[in-house]
Amino acid sequence: MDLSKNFFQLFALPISFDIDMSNLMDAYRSLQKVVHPDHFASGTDKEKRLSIEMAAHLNEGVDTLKKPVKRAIYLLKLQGIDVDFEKNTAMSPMFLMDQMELREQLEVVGKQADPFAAIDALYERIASMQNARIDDFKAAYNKITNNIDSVGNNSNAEDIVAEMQFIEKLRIDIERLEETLD
Amino acid sequence: MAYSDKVLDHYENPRNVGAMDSEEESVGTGMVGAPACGDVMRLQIKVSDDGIIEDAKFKTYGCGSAIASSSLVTEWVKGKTLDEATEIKNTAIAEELALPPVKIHCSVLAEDAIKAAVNDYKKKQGSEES
Repeated sequence: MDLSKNFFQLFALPISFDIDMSNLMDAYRSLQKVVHPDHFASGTDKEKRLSIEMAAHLNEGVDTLKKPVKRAIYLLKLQGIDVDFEKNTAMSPMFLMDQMELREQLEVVGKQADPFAAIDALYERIASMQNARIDDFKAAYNKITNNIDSVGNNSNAEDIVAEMQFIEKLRIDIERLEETLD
Repeated sequence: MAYSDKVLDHYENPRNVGAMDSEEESVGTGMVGAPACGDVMRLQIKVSDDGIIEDAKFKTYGCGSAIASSSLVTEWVKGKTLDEATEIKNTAIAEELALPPVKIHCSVLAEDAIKAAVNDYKKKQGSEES
């Protein structure tokens, strides 16, 4: 296993936002078997250390490619674009107003007659929000890889990823709330 | 991670929570968000005819430090001129609340929220004159 390969190469996948999840998991499992530290129990210290390192690299790789937001950030990183969320607070006011409204709805979900229906409605709404952004991201990413968008003019892709990250955080918070309702 | 007493105080008794009518001429609204943690903050100021911030309200969805930062700045901006308000630095907020390094971005968010609210107010006044 070559640690210098990027995660797409590692799992023999084309470098693209759209990935075949079953191919990813198959490649992950077969590589995992090869590098599993158990195989190196009787090996040298160097071999043991390397197998642990490679297993960690594999886990990081699968985690990065499995999740849409992480995958998008990683794709930009491969293009030399480092997404820095800390600096970016000036998001679209319309988007933030939607986020605030969704948070307000989430806050009162527990008081609804049917909280689970209310949660499902929220999931549905943010899923369609997220899908729209994924389409936008793919279009922006295509422009970058085809050099239509020169480097330095990629703020569009970064802004989309920031919104995707926002929506993902909200989804996680909805999940957390859902667990407390059970 | 332990919150400082000041963060806890603002978190448990947030000052000036609420909303103003964002359509009103004398009200400036700042909306900011932190993608890293999904925090969203709305800060509003009500400005008197002589350019003094009479009142401020906020609503923040986020961690204790984000809530405390916005609560604190609503206290700080009251009675200030617009220029004085935009001079509030995140470092002062972070220092007052004794925020740990991983929570500095919460104070940045609050600083950006004031600036956004002042800009919104100025934009309204400008469009009124023209």
